[in-house]
Amino acid sequence: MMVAMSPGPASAPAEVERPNDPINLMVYVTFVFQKLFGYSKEKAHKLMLDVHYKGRAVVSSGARERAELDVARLHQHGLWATMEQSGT
Amino acid sequence: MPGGCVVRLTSAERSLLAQLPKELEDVLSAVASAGDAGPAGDGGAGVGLGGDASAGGSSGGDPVVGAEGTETPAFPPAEGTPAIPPSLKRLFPPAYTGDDDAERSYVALARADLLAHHRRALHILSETASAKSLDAEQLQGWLTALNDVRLVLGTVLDISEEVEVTDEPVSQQLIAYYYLSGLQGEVVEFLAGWLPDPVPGADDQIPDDPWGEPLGGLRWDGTPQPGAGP
Repeated sequence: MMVAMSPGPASAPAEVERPNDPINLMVYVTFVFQKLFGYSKEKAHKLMLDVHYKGRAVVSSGARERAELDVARLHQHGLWATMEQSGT
Repeated sequence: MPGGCVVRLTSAERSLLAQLPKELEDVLSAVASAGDAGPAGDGGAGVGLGGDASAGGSSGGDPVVGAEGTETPAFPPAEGTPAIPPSLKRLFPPAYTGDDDAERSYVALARADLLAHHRRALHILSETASAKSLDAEQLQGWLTALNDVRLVLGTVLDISEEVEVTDEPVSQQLIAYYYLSGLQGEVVEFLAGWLPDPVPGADDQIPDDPWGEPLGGLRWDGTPQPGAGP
């Protein structure tokens, strides 16, 4: 399973076209990726940019239990993370 | 163990930091105790959270608060788990989209922990708002709580990238939102200095650029950062 991050709930059409996360601070998202997954600052920063500008990034992957735990930890940090099947 | 973080804030700031998390904690307590008693309502009785958003900077004019009757929950609550009012939706994201059964299982498993986690952080911030120094655990509580309050305020105010700067009077909620944003940035900077070294090989577990280069933002070009590394 993959853990995908997106900026937040998609609602308005404009948000779907160009997703962004006006509410979560960019430095905060980067920090959480570093803290939870042990990524380098550069890697975490790049993933944050993917989330911010593309609206989606895979930030972790693994067996279902592990991925679900990661989703729960991201949720505890207020980030919008969902489970996805690998290979899609 | 890193040392403490010295906190120098004005009494007005400390008062805000004691009040807003307390309000949100009360709202979450109401959600928690509502249990399976049906929708919890908006629960926003406080001054700052869940109040009238009409004075905010929103240009869309959409009702944001008190619209629980017209807004479909982002995900169906499992039986026996408390319903989440729309203003709190950012604090309780779905884990599975398009798989209601899996989502119900996840909510049944994780919702109580998530609720407790948010409440604990908010409690730390409101209880230590007057502290002169904080340890790492308390500061992490501040960070989570500041983000939680901002997520709810941002939802209530319908903050988006398109917020326009106008001559209209700015609401207290919006001032609080931007103040908390600045403070949260400072806390992140502080805690980032306490992070352990990156886990060797962690970066390689997620393939780089699966969708090409980022569309924007500032990037490193690969040269070592000044002052980075040992």
